[in-house]
Amino acid sequence: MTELSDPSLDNLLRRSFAGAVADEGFTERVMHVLPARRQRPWLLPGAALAGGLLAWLALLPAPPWRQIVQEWLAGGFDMASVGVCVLLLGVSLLGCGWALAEE
Amino acid sequence: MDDRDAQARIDAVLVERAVRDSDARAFEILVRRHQGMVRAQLRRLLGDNGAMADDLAQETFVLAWRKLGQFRGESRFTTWLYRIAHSCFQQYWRSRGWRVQQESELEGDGAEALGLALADPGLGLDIDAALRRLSDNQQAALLYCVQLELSHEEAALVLDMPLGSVKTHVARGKARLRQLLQDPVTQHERSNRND
Repeated sequence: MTELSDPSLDNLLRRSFAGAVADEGFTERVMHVLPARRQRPWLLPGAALAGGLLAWLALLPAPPWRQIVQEWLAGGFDMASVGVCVLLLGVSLLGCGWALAEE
Repeated sequence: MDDRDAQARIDAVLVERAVRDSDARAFEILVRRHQGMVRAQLRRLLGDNGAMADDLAQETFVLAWRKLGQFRGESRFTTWLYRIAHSCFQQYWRSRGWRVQQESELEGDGAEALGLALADPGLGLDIDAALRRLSDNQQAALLYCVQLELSHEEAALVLDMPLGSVKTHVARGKARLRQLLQDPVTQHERSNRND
């Protein structure tokens, strides 16, 4: 049996491909389920950023936070306070990241 | 300028209008222009499971609408769309263990389908059955490079794999197809023995 040439095989493959599917209402169905585009796309990341900043500002007068700052200023640097800061920073970044991913 | 370039320019204008003016009408034209090929792509990947292919195609266009602002025009809009569709297919494939189901179906009708189809080439089953014997990557590479007529570079983008791997999958896929189409029963028996 002679071997199939490359163009013959390509032709066979193309012929076996059904090609474009007729619309039959598909486009309307897609347009019906499209989410509304936000008119102000900066709103969600902006709100997340502002919320993060407010949360940090609100923490400043809190006794544990004041204690951490005072310890740091005095040169005391323990892992628990570093952990708390990393955790807070992580949560803030997570919030911002989520907001950006939503966009 | 060839037809593909002209079509790509029309797409680029429509994308710009859809992004800049949040113009849903422009996006609707894009969906209408490309739904046929995206659905055909997914039907081929899913082995003609039309209902699931349409669900994934819908998901593809919803994702495209949400991410339209990220389309930078570095590739053609169709390539970008095929990439989203392929990624939707892969997600579905991983979540449902689709390959397992596909293989168990093939166990029953492999050699019979190949033999029957070769007896009647008009049915077009021979090449489809032979295609299903290829690895997933080989099937996908042949779909994009031959059936959807993308360049190797575009297929690499859609499949998210290096250009060299795409070329290898195409070459190996074609070599295996030739074997299967010319001696299907022996090949099937041999692969069964190897399994």
